[in-house]
Amino acid sequence: MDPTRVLIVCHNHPAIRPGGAEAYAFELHKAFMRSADFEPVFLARSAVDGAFLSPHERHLIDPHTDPTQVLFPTSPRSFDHFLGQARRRGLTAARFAKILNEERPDVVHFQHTQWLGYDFVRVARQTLPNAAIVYTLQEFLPICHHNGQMVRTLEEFELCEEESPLRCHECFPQFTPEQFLLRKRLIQSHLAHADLFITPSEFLRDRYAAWGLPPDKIVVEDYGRLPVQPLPEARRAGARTRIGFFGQITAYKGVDILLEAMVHLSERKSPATLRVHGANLEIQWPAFQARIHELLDATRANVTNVGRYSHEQLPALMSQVDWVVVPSIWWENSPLVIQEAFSHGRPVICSDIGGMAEKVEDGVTGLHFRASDPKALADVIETAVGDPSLWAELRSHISPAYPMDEHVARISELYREVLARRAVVAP
Amino acid sequence: MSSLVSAADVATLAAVDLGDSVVAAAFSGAGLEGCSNVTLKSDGRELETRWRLVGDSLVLATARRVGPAERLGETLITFADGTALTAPLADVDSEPADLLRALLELPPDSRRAALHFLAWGAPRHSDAAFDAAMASARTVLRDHLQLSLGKRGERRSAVLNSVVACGGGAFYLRGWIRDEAGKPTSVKAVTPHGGTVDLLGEAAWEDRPVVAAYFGDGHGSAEVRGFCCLVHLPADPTRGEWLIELHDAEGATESVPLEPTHDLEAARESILQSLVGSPTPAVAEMAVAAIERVQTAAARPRGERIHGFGKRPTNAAVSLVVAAGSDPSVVEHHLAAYGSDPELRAVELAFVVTSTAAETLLPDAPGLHEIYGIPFCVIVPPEESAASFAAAANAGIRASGGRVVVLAPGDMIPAASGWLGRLIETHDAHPEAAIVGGTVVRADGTVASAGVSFAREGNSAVALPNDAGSPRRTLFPAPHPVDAVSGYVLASAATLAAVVGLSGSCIDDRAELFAVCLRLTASGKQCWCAPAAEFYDFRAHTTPVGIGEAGERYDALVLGRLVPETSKRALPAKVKPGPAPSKFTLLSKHLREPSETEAVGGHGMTVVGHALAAGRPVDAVVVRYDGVELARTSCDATTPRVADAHPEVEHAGRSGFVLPFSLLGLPEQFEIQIEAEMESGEVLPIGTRRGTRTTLQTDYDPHLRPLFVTTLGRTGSSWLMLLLAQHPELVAYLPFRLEPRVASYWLAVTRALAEPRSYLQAIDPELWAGPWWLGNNRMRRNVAMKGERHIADWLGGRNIEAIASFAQRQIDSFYTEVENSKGKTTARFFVEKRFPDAINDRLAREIYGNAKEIFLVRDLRDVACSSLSFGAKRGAASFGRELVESDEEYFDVLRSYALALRNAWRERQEGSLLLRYEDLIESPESEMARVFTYLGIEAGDVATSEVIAAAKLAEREGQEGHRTAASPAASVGRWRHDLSDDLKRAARDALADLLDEFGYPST
Repeated sequence: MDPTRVLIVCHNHPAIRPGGAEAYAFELHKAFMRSADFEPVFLARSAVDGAFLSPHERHLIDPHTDPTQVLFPTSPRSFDHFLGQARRRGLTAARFAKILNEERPDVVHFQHTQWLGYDFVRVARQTLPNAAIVYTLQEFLPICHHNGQMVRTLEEFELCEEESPLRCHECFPQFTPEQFLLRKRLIQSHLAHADLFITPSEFLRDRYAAWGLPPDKIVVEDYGRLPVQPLPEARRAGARTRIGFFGQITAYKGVDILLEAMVHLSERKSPATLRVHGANLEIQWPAFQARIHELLDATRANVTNVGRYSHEQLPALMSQVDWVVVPSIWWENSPLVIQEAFSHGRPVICSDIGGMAEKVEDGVTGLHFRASDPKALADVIETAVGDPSLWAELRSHISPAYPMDEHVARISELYREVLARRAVVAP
Repeated sequence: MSSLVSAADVATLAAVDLGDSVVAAAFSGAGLEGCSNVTLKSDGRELETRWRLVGDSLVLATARRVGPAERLGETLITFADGTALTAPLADVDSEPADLLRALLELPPDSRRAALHFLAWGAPRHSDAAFDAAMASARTVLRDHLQLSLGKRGERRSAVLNSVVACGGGAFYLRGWIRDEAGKPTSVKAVTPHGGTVDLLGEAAWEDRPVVAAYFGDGHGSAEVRGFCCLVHLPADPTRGEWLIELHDAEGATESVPLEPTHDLEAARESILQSLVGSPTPAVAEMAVAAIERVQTAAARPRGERIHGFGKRPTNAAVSLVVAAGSDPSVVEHHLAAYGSDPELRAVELAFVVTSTAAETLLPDAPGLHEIYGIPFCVIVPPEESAASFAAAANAGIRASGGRVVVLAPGDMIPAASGWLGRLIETHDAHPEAAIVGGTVVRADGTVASAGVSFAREGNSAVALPNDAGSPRRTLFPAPHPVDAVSGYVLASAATLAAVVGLSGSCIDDRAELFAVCLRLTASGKQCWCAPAAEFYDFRAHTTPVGIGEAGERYDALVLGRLVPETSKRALPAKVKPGPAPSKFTLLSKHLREPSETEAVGGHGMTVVGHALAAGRPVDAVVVRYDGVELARTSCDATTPRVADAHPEVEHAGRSGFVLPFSLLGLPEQFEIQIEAEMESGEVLPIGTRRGTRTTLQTDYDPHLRPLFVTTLGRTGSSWLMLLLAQHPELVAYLPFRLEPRVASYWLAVTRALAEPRSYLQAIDPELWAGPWWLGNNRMRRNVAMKGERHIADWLGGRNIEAIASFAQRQIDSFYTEVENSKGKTTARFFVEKRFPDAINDRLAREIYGNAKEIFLVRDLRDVACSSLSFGAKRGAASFGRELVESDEEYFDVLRSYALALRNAWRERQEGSLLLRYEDLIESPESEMARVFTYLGIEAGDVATSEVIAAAKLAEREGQEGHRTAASPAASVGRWRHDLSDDLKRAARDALADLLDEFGYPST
């Protein structure tokens, strides 16, 4: 049987702009490369042409020599962020159609269409009527103009339970409800050409079904992870008091909530200590940066700001903490950091909402706290570090991360099902 | 040269206040041609001045004072050689006419330059407010400082404001004449070919008060008369000037010649000037006829350009024509909507756009075709048709080859696939259906059909308040005939091209479609609605500004001629003059509490959020239910995050609100509107919230049940109360002498004390003077009761139930006292009259689950007669008549009262009794027996007769003060002889549907 030709489409290349979705997409591509069943091509949108890559970037990706990777330059300035498509209609789409005609994939698997356009899905269908089109939904961008966070723009970081033209207009008064209605209709019209949607969590699936995607076209399939080798667990007696944060330091990730909890814990003379591993604080709003620095100053006694880290450093860094906290104040979908924590046998303390609450079973593989509530988080951490047996109990229930091999097998099965259906539908 | 000029050589001709503190001054004197700068001064302070030298001896200057009270002092005139002089400047108390007289001195060229400076071409001033003030001054000047004012000493003027070519040899002339010599003997329009039109005989004439005011001072009692005239010429001169000749017994004059305007859109705007304000019927008729010519000309130009993209379907049965107008961005939304619909695959698709829009669309069109895979064409009508919907539709129809044509407005898209099949099926299944439309869905979820707006209720729908006069209507899921259709409409090509076509007589596209439907109906055909074909309306996005008041008036006049008299009330809301566009918008708004999904359990609710308007702070935040204000508060709570987000808005840091309010009197399930109110009175929506409230339970078991008589004034309610009071099982207090409202009073007290601002005064008082315990002047919006949940719950829950129990006890005690004083021992009900008050009445029903209610109605025209007679008898208007200036307008007041009664009846008719005054007068025995039977009390013949006899006896004591007719029988149908024909017409216009609903004939 001929190998399945798959074109993976992603909005960034992880070598150029690291991110969870990008990392997963590229790992999937590499996993396909290792399989005889696939002939993958990884198309990554880039702000620059391949000729402008740095030596480091070119080490990871060289579009001139690696035929399995394609850089697809588009300019953010010519992108209509509201409608999620190129401003000048047709030109970008024609370039994509040209690649499709050259590669002739059996499957076009969109991992993200930011900076490219939702209309790429339609172009794929127009160009390759028989191809299977699969779209992995990473967050809520098609639903929510607020960076896909489903967090309202107003006074507080209020979680948004549902979209509607009027509610979206409340968040963005510069756009009328009618414009939001048109936006939704336009995006849905493009996505309607996908054969299958994959969501990494039940929560995400439910949200998209409520938004209007056909439930029978949505499959929940978590991210697969390449195997990792945790460092041997050092024998430690007594309480497990070391807390760790891994991720970007943005307002949505809730680092400020965690630091405020540490202030409470310090006041309570708790033995808990925190190590913050994260980057990108310097590109956040000045007020947020100031708030984080203020909190770091106030928690110098029990918080260490480790800073940026690489994927390769993760085993060592994970071995230095007992618990991983995921305090995000937005819904999240299926945070990779949870899988990483589990891969290293670390129970997770997380917000009790969305994909986090789904992936971490409260009292089984971790602990939940009321989202956005520093005091509630402090209470939970106090419970966690105060009970020496709890850590081992929770750790004992942690399953290994979902192996990439199994994930690839499942994806392969889904591709086959869609291709079979298309063979019936399209002559 | 200038050094030779002295102040004595310069005369101040005029210094005129043009309004809004804008002043204009004129100076003359030999040697002024060397002037290099002019500065008006005020109290020694130099004002920013614009000036111009006209000819060699006149200087004009304009400036803006700080305020009208500021007095101008002098003017500094500087010359090129460095010398300067100070010219005296008279106080600004001259009239504009003084300035005009000064200008009349000038030779024509100089006068033209002077007027140009004053009215048109002054360079932009650095003071924006000055520019705004000059703009308003210019509006006046343009109209009245015509170049043909005549020469000084002449006693007559003829002015041609505008000449507009309407197409097909028709011209619309507008201007005015003024003649001190008396009545003109002849006023003629002279055509470019030298022909004449007798304007005295042909034109429509009107007053021009503004012009008259300008010339009134110092010019005797000359009459200024404006005219407009639609002139038809056998030949169509595209070039050449028109002028007006005026002759009187003493002489003649003529206007400055004027070239016609040929641009159709500019022509329409020019003619619409005649419909601004309150045009006379003759002027309105003339203007409407002229605009119709323009519209028709704009609708039927030929020579459109057609650009094809993709292979056009061969032998397409259906042509879909989208009038995209001037917004090219809508094209992609249409393509997205059609791309997934299999029914659209074989449809011939055309977008009609203006040439300006085409410049944007055409470069993208090939790409759009590639992306969507749909062949389509772009049709660009000739320039002169501008954005006319009819022109677009007609151009599309001409280019179409389908058996049937679907006309689609650019600002609507189908809600789902399958719409085309439904329209075609309806069209083909019903040969009488000449045109078929669907249902229009707006972003707020309301729907429109046949021009009427509805709120959905499952498969049925309720007419919205702007059409509150219409009876409850149902949208049928099955196709059915309707008065008119809107949105996407389908008709056979033959019907559209040969039978109807789009005349373009209306300006608004909805109105134009309505006109098509009316013409079809007039020719015996039918319009059908296929309700399952739904279309989203996003007009608010594409056309935030409407067609203007004059445009709406024009459309209404055109449609008014087409609408049969019997269905004029069904005119689509869009063509009625609507509210002026809001001057304010909310930059940011948010309702933090309650959340949209919150179900309210208690008797109160608190809304928390912010509302930030551009330019001015929001004056108040108001909560309404069904249009009734429930509570209001200021909008100035601190909002630091809003301030961070809007650093450009000074008041952003204080744009929050916290508004706790009582829910008593609302239905169990309710939806409230939260609105921002500006100081100007403008209202901007913030949001809506739905909730479910707990029913108010009291622990008091009343001895007497209430019987409420809900009615309006002058309906015979005093007589009914007197009748009821005679029954041994009913108690009423002095029904003829007083109109007690004991129950209403205590219910109002309950509501007042149930307001959070009131009961919070008990625990967190603000002891201002007066009835501080009501909390009406309370400053603190809320009380921090963290950790005191139990007390907070009690205050908002049991506390209020106890107050309501107390109120019931007080009502019961009072009427028990009355019962005892009357020696009644078997009373079961107390009886009270009341006017409809939705909130209070609902609360009464809630706490008195066993209440009875009689709705007493009377022919509203007789109510009006009785009210007017009562006022005349008392020497003071009352019953709402005092609110308006004329008897005609009183019917509108009466309508608003009757609507409240009608709505109350609709809401509570189950378990209530409807009683007509006329029946009570004609058959008192049977009607009272019906009442008593309804109440479950003694209703036998004897008891009823005794009640009526006792009432008649008691009547003699006090009825004279009430009565306005010779006898009760004479009071029935009195309107037929009391009302003039005009008042009868006004009554029919205002009340027909309500009369119908209460069972009265409208004629």
